[in-house]
Amino acid sequence: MYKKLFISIIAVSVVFVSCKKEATTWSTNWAAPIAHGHLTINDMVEEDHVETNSEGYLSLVIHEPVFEFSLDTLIQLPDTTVVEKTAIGIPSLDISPAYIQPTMYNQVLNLGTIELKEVIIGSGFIETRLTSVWPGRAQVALIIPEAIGPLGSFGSVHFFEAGHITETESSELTDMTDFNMNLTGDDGLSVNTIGITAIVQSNEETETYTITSSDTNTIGFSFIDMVPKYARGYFGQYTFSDTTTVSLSQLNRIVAGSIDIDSIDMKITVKNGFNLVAQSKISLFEGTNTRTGTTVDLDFPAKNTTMNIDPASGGLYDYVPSEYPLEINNVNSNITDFIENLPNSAKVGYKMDINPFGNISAGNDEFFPNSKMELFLDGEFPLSFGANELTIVDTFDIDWVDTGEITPEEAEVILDYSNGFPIGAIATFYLLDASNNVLDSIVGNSGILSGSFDAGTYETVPKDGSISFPITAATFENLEKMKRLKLYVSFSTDGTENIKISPETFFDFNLRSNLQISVSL
Amino acid sequence: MKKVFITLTLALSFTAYSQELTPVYEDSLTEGSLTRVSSFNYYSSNAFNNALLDKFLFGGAITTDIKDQVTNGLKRVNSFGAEAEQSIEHYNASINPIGNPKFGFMASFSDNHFVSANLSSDLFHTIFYGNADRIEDTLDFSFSHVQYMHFQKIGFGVFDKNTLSSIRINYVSGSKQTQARLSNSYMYSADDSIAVMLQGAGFRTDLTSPYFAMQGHGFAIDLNYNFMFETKKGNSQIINLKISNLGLIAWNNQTNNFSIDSLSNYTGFDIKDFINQPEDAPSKEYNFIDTLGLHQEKGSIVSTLPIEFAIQKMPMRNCDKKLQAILGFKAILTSDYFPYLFGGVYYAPTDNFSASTRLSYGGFGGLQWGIDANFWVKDKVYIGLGTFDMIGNISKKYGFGRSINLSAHFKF
Repeated sequence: MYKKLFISIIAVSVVFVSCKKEATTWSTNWAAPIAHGHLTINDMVEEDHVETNSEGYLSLVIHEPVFEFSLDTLIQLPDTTVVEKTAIGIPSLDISPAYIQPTMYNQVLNLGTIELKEVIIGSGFIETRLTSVWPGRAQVALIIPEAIGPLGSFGSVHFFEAGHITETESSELTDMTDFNMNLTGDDGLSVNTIGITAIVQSNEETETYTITSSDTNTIGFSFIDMVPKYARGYFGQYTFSDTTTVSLSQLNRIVAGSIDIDSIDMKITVKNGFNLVAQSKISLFEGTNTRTGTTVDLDFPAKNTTMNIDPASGGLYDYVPSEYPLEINNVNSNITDFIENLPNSAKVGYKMDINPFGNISAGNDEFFPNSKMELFLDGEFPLSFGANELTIVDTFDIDWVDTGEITPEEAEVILDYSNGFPIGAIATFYLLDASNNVLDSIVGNSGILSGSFDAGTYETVPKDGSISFPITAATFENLEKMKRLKLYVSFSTDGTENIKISPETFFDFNLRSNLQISVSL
Repeated sequence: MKKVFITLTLALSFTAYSQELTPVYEDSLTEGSLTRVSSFNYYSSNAFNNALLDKFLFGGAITTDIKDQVTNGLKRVNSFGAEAEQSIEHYNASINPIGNPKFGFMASFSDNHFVSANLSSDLFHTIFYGNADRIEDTLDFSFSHVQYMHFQKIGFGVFDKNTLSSIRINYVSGSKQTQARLSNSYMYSADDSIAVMLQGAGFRTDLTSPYFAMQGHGFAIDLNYNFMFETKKGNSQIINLKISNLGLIAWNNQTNNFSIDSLSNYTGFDIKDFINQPEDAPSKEYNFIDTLGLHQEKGSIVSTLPIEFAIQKMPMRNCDKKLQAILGFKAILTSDYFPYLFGGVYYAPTDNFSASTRLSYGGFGGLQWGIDANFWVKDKVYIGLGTFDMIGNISKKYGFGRSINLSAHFKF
């Protein structure tokens, strides 16, 4: 009996287990800063693209090429393999140690309509590959006398053991970078022609051996990836023309509203870095706003006018591109209408002729190191404009982070700001699912108020404010389902007149949250 | 002085009682053996009522009412503690391990959980309310502390057959421990920033399972001395003096040691760190915990066991008086534990049944009322059931913990 009681008590004592049936939860309220910042125009646009204009307010400026092309692919020396066979023209010949047989010949490169006289190689190789069947030891040299590198003319010397029955072969790869090659041949009057000298001789010290007319040696070389950095000659006639449509995708984000611009001053300069004559013509430049269906054809003085582009001046190391400037501003064109249309698509028609008058340089067209034909844009866009509910939309992919034991319940996100820009904004956030259906939205209790713009001094008195974005429990549930966040921001400038952005303009903000979270353990 | 020292040493060298409900001195054990099974369990707080503690034990939502009720009762030191000891002891009078027939042999095994914590009022507020209502204010976390230990003791010793005083040396197997203590620490919240000052240290053993994880090894000495004397009126009395867990555990070198001494100011993201950055700029993932400068390294560490000291006047079963007074004092050497005082009466209407009731104050809690009942079967079996916190056992609102003790003795 005692034993049974003893065991029972032990069992009761040991099995003293509490079983937690549900999680322990409680709610807490946290106030925490999220983000802050002091933003000026230089935080929104690169410093190099903003400057204070003569009237004391800011202009966006652009100094950069917008289109360029080079001729290096046209004048590239094609990969070429040349094999020459040499043999004596008599039945047999005794080859003494002093025997030397020089051979000179011209090798013409096939470059189509291009007629090159001189090139300096930027990169590339020549591979020489020679064979000998002479029954004694031999030495063969392949020389291009007019290919002059830092150490002198190009030459490749090969030494052969006695061949006769078994052909002996030798090859060598030479880096041709910075070699200056004259392509006028032996006579100095040809084009695309390489003068080559091959020297075959005995390499015996005392022995004399006999070769026959059937002992044929080969002398071969290959151009591999030979790209000139300088070329002189006649580059041929070419015409490039096209009508192309350019998508201005950034402007696709504008979904409503309008903008009013005071002035724009643009200069597009055609720069010719080649020593050759060219002509160009812009025949079409129209912008279409697909949202409104409005197309504006940009008119400017040089449109549909053939422009003669002069050759670059100077020489190999001091060339100066020629320039042909096109002025486009709100006086000589409808550029403001073009921009105010907010085109998200532009159609451009152009034509360019290289050497339109043929070989008028007498074969002295020049391609200089890094030279190119380019359109260079110098633009000044004064930040003087009006915006009327100009609405921009953008969409971001979002991955919701699992918060584990902490579940957000409700929140209030508060934006405290001081707006020194004479531009107000209203923002709305839309929560989208994977199929872009709107699940929910987050709307502030007010917009960002614009600063007060003084048209006389161009100064803006900052406006302080606070916006509350309430996030309900239901919204938090939708945040977990959300795959994308779509942001609508509608901008309007202060007053009815155009505003100007002064250099001191700023936007200070402090984003903070009051977050009610549920802790679950 | 030397005599006093020797006397005290000898006095502390005899012990018999593990933690259990109000112990009753029964009789000497001059022959045969005695086996005791005890289950001693309580949790207690001087600030956190059962309405709150039950939510952690049994789950459920901690409502604002519960939080407010606790907040109103918070003090400078808000302690919470718990002990759970399941033990079995065996006394054998037939074995004389030291060759002296006056002493018998004893062996024991116990499984011990120990929790000791102290939350500052502001830390409680931060955890359960957050900081939203304390903007432009400092929340002081200083001297908050939490400690949890789980260990087993396997002990062997000798006992005095006449008084059941004993001394026992235990091998201690450390299962797991977590400990953290903050010194000068606070959080200051403003509209646009949160400043956090943290100074503190702690450690956590590597494994959280299995139950007997054996991540540390140590030793402990348990001493118990029953001092018998007679009053001037010739009444026998027993004073019990007990020191337990006099030892330590060396945790293995996989123990995670933490320390922190940093002042962090969080102002949110600076938008300039994210705009106009090059595409290949390194990503700027922000982790607030990383900014706190928490230093962590693995390494062994030695920690002391929760040393307990108790002195109490025990009731005697064979006393001819039906009513006896009980009183005593207990201390655990941890900063969260206040000196624990108790007093009460023991009532034995028959030879086979007795009951006692007591009032206590201190420990991890405040004022507590305890009762227990004892039942004997033919001097061979003893069963006792009791609690040190009856109010806690029945009231969520006024209770600040719970306690249940069970003990059974078998003579063979």
